[in-house]
Amino acid sequence: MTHNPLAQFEIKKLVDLSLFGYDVSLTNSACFMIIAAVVSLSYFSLALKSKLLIPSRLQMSAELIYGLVSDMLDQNVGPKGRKFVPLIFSLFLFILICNLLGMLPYSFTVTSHISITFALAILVFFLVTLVGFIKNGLGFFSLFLPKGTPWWLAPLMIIIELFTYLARPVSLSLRLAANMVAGHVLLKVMASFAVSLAIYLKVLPIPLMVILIGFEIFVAILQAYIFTILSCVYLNDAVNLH
Amino acid sequence: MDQEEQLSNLKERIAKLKPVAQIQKTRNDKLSAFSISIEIVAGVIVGLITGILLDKLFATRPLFLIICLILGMIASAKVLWQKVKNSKDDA
Repeated sequence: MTHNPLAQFEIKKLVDLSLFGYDVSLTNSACFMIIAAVVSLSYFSLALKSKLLIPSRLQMSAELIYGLVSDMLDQNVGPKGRKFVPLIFSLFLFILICNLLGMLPYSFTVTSHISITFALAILVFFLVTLVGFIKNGLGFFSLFLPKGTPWWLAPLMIIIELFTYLARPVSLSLRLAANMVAGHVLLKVMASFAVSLAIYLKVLPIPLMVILIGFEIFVAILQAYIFTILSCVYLNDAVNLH
Repeated sequence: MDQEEQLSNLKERIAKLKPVAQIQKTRNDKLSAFSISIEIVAGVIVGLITGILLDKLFATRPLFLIICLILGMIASAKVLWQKVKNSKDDA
């Protein structure tokens, strides 16, 4: 009985489809992304169906998530960041639901693939660059030259700053994907140990697994939060230049 | 109880809870071993990709690859240095 801890990240085709010679099959990854979108949409439409002055518990939870995101933008970007609440909010919700869906047994963790997290990160990257150029014009290039740089060091500093700027989407996507992969692999390996450990330790491995799963849910929420807060920090660079 | 009264009651209760909410506002920008490794890898990956692309463009393999890799490493070191400085300021 061997379990490959990486088998859970395999992409399988559920429905074979091809359009204009391109493979657009419905994979389990796409399926779970659709489920995440449906879950978040139905949760919010259900929670905000009856807008009460004194909110019910469900409405309270929806308002709590909204408050978290809008506070995050207020603290990191300021009043100019109000425009970006819809984007950051949907980004946070999508990542959060995907991460949490991955914790269900027999489900697929969408955010464990770099292709998906990188697509999200490059979206934020292009948005930040576009907003920076629209708001500041060519003055946005001053982001690449820190204040107080001596003139003979300026060419080198500009290139290094450009590299750190380009590294942002890579580190943003790697952080989320690596955290999810590491957590799920650890969970799988520990779970396969728990079976054989039960011979010596009896029921002791089971509470350990419960703690690990709890920790993994914490990581899922934390990583969604970190992804959005870093997007806010990058937006702040573009909106309020220095 | 009509709505006006309810609203003023709610406002009072919110005002009471405000100081509690203020305390919870702490920046969650900590420096962990995981994030250090991610930053290092990200800089090197960007340097690698830019180097390979520039080499393909000018057909100067492996000149730009070496230069861009070194620049990427410097960039990731700079990001880490900034992060350490920020976490020192908070503490």
